[in-house]
Amino acid sequence: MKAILETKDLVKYYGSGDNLVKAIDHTDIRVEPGEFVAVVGRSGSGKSTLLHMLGGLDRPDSGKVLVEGRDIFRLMDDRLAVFRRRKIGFIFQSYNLVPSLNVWENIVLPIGLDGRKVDREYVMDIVRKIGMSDRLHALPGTLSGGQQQRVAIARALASRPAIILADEPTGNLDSRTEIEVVSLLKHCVTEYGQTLVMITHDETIAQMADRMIVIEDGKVVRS
Amino acid sequence: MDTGKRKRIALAAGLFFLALLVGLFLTGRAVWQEYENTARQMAALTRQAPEEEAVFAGILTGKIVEDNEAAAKTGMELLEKYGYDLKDSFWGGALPGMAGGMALLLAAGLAACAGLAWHSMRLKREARERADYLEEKLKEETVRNQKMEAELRREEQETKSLITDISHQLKTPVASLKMSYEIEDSTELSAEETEEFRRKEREDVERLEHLLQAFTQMSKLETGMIRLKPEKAGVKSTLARAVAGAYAKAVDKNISIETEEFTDVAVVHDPGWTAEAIGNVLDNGVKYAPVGTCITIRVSELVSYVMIEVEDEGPGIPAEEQHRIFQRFYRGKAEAVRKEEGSGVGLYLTRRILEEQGGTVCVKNGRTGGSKFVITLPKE
Amino acid sequence: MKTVTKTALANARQNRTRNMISGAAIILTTLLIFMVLTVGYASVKVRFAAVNAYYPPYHAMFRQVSEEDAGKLKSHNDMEEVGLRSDLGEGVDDDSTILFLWMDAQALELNKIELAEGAFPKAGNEIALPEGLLAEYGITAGIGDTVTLPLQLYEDGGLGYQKEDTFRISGFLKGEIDEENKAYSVLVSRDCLEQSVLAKDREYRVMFRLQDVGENVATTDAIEERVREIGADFGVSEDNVVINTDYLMANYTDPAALFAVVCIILVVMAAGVLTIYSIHYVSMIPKVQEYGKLKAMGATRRQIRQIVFREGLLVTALSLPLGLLLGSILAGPVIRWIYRISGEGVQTNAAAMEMNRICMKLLEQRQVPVLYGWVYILTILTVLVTVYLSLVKPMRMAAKISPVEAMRYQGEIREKKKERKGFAEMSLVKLTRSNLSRNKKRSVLTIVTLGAVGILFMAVATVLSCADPEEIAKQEFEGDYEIAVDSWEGDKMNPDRAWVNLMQNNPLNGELLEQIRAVDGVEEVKVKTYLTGTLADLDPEREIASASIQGLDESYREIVENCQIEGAVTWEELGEGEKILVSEDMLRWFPELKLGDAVRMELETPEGTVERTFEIAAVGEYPSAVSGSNFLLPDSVLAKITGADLSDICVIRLEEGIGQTGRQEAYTNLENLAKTSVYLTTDSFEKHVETWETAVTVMTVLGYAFLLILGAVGVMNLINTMVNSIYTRRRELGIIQAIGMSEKQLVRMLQLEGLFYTAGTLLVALGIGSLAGYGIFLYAKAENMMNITVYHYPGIQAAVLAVAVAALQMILTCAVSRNFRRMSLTDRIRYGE
Repeated sequence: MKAILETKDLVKYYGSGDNLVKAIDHTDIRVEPGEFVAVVGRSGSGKSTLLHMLGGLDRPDSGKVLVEGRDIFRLMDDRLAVFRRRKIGFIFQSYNLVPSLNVWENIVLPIGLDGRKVDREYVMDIVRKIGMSDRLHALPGTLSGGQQQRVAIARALASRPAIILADEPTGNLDSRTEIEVVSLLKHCVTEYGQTLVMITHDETIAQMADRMIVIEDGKVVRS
Repeated sequence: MDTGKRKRIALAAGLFFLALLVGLFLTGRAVWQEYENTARQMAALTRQAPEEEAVFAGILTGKIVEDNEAAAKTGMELLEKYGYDLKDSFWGGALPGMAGGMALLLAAGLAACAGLAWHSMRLKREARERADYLEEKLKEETVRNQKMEAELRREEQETKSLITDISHQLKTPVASLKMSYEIEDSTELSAEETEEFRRKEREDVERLEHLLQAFTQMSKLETGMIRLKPEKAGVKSTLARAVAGAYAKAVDKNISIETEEFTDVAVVHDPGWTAEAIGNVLDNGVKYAPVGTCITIRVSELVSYVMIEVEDEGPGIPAEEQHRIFQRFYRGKAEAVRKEEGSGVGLYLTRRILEEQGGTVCVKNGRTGGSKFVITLPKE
Repeated sequence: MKTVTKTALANARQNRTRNMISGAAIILTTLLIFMVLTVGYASVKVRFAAVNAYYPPYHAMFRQVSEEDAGKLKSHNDMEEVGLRSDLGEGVDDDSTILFLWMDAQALELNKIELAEGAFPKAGNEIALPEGLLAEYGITAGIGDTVTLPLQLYEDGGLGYQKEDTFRISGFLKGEIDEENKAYSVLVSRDCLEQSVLAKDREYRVMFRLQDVGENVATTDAIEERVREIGADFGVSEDNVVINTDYLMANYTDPAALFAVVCIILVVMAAGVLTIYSIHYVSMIPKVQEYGKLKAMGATRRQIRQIVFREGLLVTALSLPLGLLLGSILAGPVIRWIYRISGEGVQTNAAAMEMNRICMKLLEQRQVPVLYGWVYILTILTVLVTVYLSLVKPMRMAAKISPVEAMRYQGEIREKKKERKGFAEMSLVKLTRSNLSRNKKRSVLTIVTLGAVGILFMAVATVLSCADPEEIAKQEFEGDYEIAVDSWEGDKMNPDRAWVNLMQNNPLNGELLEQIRAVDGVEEVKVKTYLTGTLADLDPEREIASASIQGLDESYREIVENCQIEGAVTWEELGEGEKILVSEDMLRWFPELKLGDAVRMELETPEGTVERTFEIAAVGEYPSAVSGSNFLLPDSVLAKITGADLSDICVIRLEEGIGQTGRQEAYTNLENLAKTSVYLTTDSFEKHVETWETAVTVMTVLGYAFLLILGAVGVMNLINTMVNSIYTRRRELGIIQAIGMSEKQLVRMLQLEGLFYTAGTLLVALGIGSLAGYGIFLYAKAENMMNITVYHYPGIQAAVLAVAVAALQMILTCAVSRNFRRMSLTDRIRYGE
């Protein structure tokens, strides 16, 4: 079966000469549809860069990124953005939410940007799952870290993307909230049939994934 | 069409009609002014020379006309003498009104056209986008279907490999038994030797029994013969069942199982299977923990989940094996583990059961060097 | 210390863009303040210098002073400079008069007598005379030659016998001759004076300047008082005390004008201050974060302050001198240009023309300094104070909160809002709306700043639109051409100019009027009569106003009856002679006057002073085209008071559509008619229009130049706000793009924000600006400034403003967004801290 996410000989270097940093060094990755893949590595190993590439946020120096078999970097910037908002949901470590919008607005923002109407049933279902039904009008500034990440998860799910990319989503959370957020994420992804690629430096969290990819100095060490 | 759009269209239409009306009004007024001016001229001329009334009427209505170029030129010169030239002709009279009115009508018309053109372009674009979107969705659906097919095929494969694995695992104790029998048949054994062999055979049979039990469970689950029936029930009773199951073996090794006090929480789970799952974890702990140690169970309520922590004082699990232990048939590489009986299936089952119910399980290093298993179950 | 400086320098280099904008704003503000102050002050200075160059700079003169007293006065303590003059006699010919006089060195200076050639007469029969005199008498002679001139010495108040004396020419005098009057002055030596007149008979005119009188003369009263005192001390009769009012008046500065200039300066300073302040305010967020980091690293408050100041001062230290330099270079040419343009237009007033010419000469010869120390100091101080104030706020902010909070400072969101109703569906437009409502304070500040400039623009534009030179001229001047009697009162040196004298031999007599009517192209001729005197009860000394009455003919009936703003009186009632119409200015000068009051006048006629009392029946508001007098009456009433020919002004209207050539011809003919008498003066509609056109042009250019710079300052502000608002939202925008906003949508969002600012600014500028313009128009109308009476809406300027603002916004948005998009997405997200 076709892999939903693939990289072929991906390369991204920063700087030059003595300052050369090989963020991604000839990396090949393959993710099957519906998989939960944990990407593990130390700080500076290039995990974030890899995730950004997978999501089309940054262009590689060479190599390809194939999503559902399509080379995404052949798309023009605008089409790439459209692709991003329909296929991929992003969750970052922090500052996920737009401070001037309330919880509901943050969640439906990608849908709105796509010009589509909100499927209220579906979104409310997600909201209930993350346990924020009573705080739909709250502003992000009033939410705790865990709550903010829940909202971020809801946003990532609301537009029904095929792939969810999470960059250390639990990095700023305490261990209890961490377990909860990851459980939630895993459960939702399974239920809605999505693929999840999550970066984490915590190998405990990585356990919960179907598969673990270890990155060191821009290269895949274990898969 | 939502109200915002409707309002905007109403506004645009209103403006358009207003412009139209104003244009018409100006034009009409200009025409009327022109007529009135002519009338005034008539009156003024006639007042000066009443006897020429008919001539004036003829000139003003256009009946009497000086046709040639020269006449126009003479006229212009005369007018200029009195300071009236082209510029004045423009600004006087009804011309500005007319021009203004016409311009307004034209502008209104152009604006309407532009508006319609823009609107139709937008409609076209929207239609195109919708088409693109539907195409994408179709592709996704196809992928999903493919996945389901693959899933089915995988299950088929799994069942096949399951059978292979089970038969492989069973082979060893059966072979051992067979060998025992053959030796007994073919050789004269002393009473002690016979005793020894008997003991070994008993062990083998126990081992077979053990394996059979585990395999039965697992295959039932794997092949979908048993379905989990989640219901909302208190987690306390389930936990009690699990503890009860492992109690006997714990007492044997003088290991105490302590549960910290907690308020019961209702969780959506299949009590039987969940108890089984937790029981496997406890079994694991009892099996590998040294004599006289303690296994602690802690239950806490999170926002959407209930968290159950099971901590033992055993040897712990090395980091590189921590994510492997939940794999099917995996047995740890450490000496202590190798020594014990085990099918490598218990934790795999635990994970499958919990994840089917929307929960999770993972292992961390305990505070005193042992292992801490963290189980979550959804509250809703 | 060095670390502090190094940090400051490093900071400055890092925030290069921000500092450049800040620097540019400082340069512009400095330039503006400097220019306004310099131009204003220099203009004043130049005018004073020109006055001193044009008018004889003595304050007063005593006549008929004896030789002894003259000597005493010379050593009077209160006198700064004293000059003596003695007139010997006259030489009269058919149509020309020669005045023989002696002046001492100081008098020569005070009277501005200059030599064209040769030397002043020193001894014997040496004389210095104007060259034109020789031409008049048909004599050709050079320096050293002898000439014979008629001379009649003054004796007992009259002229003695005619003599013919020979004189030797020692030099030629510079200066224009009074061609019309054909009067020539000839300087003789002291010897000649002593020989011709006995000591006891000699009478001197003593001209002097008082000590301790500054350049700026607020009132002439103090001077007059002092002069009279001194005169009284030395037995000089009141009649013989002459105050050089021309000179004093020329030195007089109108407090209203001064007030206006001060206002402008304050406005400029406020604008500059506001901009520099808001630039620093807007970049406060990153600054507070910086200071937090510094504090966390262990910098003390004092060190932070030093770093802050050094960075701010560095920018100021570079831009302030640049601004001053620019201003210094531009000041001279700008002032010269202003005077040149003004000079080209002023044609109605010979004195003004001359003054202007002198101003230009002074400027060109650099005789008057244009750059003044105190202007520099004031400018520097203002700018420094502003920069200081704008740096203090963020520092104080950072001092109050802990270092960690400071580092995470995202703006003054004091969490007042916990919830938000929000929209059910999101879209780009709704996202933009929420962005704008987030930091309302800053949005409003930006709009207000730009809008303020817009309001000023509209106000100035309105005033300029309403100031139509033709309309204004029409308010000042009636008809096409005017021939009037050139009389003035209270001139002891020229008593023939008094109206009561001129009316006895009125040059504007019936014969002349006939000739005027006969000129080709003249359509209508109207005559206004005139009578003057004192307001016996209200102002017997004629200090404020006189009883000036303009007599109008029947054709003015409608105007007289319609111009009344208080009370009511008909033409017939006025014709009865008991009632009178008073101008509203009078009520301003004499607030105790009201309707129904009786005004007693002592009117001067050839038959003597006639006392008349009128009842104020109405108060009228009439433009100077109708009359400049304080009272109006039908001329029939004046005719009853005295039989003399009271014709004062002859208003001439040419035929409609006469054409340019016909017009010029008519003017020339009329002018020639007026030249027949010295006491007639002419004026034309065109001259007034031209003067006003120039005035309006100068005002327009200056006004718009001033506004342009203000606008530049506002634009700087806008740039800064926009750049900053996007820069601080880097991370947020990056994340929104990560979740699916395309670059095109980002640009559209930025454009929508820009549109909002545009709309807001235009609303403020056009809306409030139009209202403000109308308000100023009403004020100007009430205060009779520039004779503005008709309101014109500055439609074209409004359209230009709208287009300019819109275009500006679009360009800015494009530029800023292009700059922003150069940063890669991941960098935006990553470095959003």
